[in-house]
Amino acid sequence: MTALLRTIGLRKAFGGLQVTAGVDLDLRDGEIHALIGPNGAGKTTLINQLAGEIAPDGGRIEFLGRDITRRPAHARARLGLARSFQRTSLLPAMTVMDNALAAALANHGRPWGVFRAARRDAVLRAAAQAALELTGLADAAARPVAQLAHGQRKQLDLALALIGQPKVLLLDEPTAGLSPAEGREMVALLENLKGRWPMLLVEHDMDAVFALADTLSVLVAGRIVATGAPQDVRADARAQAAYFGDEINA
Amino acid sequence: MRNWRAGLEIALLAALAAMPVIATVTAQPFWLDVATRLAILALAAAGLNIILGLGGLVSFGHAAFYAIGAYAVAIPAHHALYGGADWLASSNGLFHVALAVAAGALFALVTGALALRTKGLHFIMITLAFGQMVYFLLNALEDYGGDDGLPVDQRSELPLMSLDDPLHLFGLSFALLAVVLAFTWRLKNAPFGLALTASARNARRMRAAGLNVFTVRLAAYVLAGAITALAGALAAEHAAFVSPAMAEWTRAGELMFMVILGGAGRVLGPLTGAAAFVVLEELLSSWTVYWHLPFGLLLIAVALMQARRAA
Repeated sequence: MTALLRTIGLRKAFGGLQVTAGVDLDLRDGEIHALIGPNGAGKTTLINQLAGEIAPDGGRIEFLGRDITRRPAHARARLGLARSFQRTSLLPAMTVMDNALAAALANHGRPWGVFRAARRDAVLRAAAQAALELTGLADAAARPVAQLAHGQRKQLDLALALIGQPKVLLLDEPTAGLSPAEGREMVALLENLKGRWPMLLVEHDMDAVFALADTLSVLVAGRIVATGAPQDVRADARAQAAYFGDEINA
Repeated sequence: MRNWRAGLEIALLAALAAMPVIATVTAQPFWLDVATRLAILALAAAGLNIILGLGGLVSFGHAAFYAIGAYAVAIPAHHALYGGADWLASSNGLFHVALAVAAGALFALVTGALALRTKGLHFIMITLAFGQMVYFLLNALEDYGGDDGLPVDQRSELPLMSLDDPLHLFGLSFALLAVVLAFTWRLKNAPFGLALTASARNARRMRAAGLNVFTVRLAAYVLAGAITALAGALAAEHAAFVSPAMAEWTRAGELMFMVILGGAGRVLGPLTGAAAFVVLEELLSSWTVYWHLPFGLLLIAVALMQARRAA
């Protein structure tokens, strides 16, 4: 199977701190590839480089066989590389449906209409509605974002990423900050989406990782120190020392 | 609260529309003059409302577009009357309006393409700088009166109407204002308006969703510039005079005041804002020559009240 998303020797430094130190990563079609690592390992920085918010210092990013290293964030999204945010990134003071419509008009490349209301645009509505149904938010469509529980905000953040029917999902800690019950709900939701969308999943919750991931990579100090099937990586000594060690000793 | 405000807006719009009748019945042509000025200022503020109110971008150089529109009328009219620059000389009002809108849009396209690469305080400063650039350029135009300004000795010629007739000029100003406000109303809920307001609230998310935020904002900036330039063209007809003062940063501040007082992003906000501005100016200046002082204090009070409500 070929890689949909691939990084080759990706490097990024903030001042003297090498946050991404030559990362080679492959995301294959149909799989969930989880990325774990201690705090400060550079997971979110890596996601931000993949999404186009931060420019890498060196190396390449390929998506669907194209070099996208220098493409701006919106162009990557239009190619089908969608993301969610660790701290949810929504449109406050708008309803859930308007959030979804705004994401839909962006992703469908239809932001130029000046006369007909967006709510009456059948294409936008259908896309928005489908994503809300998929994430279990259809009943909350008319509610303002401010009234949503944290778990629902996370669901909406995911819904906004799904709206453009992307080719790949970059998920930055979808269960972060959720209660155990909400976390289980999110994992069930992602399991349901598995197979339809290949995902690169940054996650701290090990139960979620082992429930979802086909491939597991461990990022430590900007380097991938282990990659492979989750069970194999779990057995890997270096990864245990770098990551699981802390948890086992704790 | 919301209904109270909407009611006031509708009442103001109706009062403005009825002003020719009111002025005739009360035999106070002065009121028609004030109403025309109000409609023109509201139109200028309606332009700014698109970029500041909907787009959330504090453009502090918007008076430049007002002046550009005004000079786009005054300069061809000047040449039509006194000769010179045959390629530009014209007394045709349609040409004047087309020139004003095109010049405003072009200036917005060029300056917006640069200014919109910055954000926050930098955007305010760079738009202010472009505004001052226009102000000093107009001051330097000795052929067109320099800092003395340029009288419009002959108003533009339009089919079916005479702009020398105050009633016709008011009718034209009010009609254009109504069209622009109706357009804003449609725009606000249309995909373009949603893209603009959503980008104001969370540009990062909109980029992640695939929106080219820069192009959307540039289009809004061009639209805003063209509308305010149109208002400037009407202002030149109304005052029969243009001057660099139209581009001054204090004028830009006044336009911002109108938009913010009327409620940034509200469709009829520029109308209430401009009405408050004109009424206060008339009242306070008849009361004291130092009318800017109470006016400034009032501005501070409004800003504090709105900040508290937003908090």
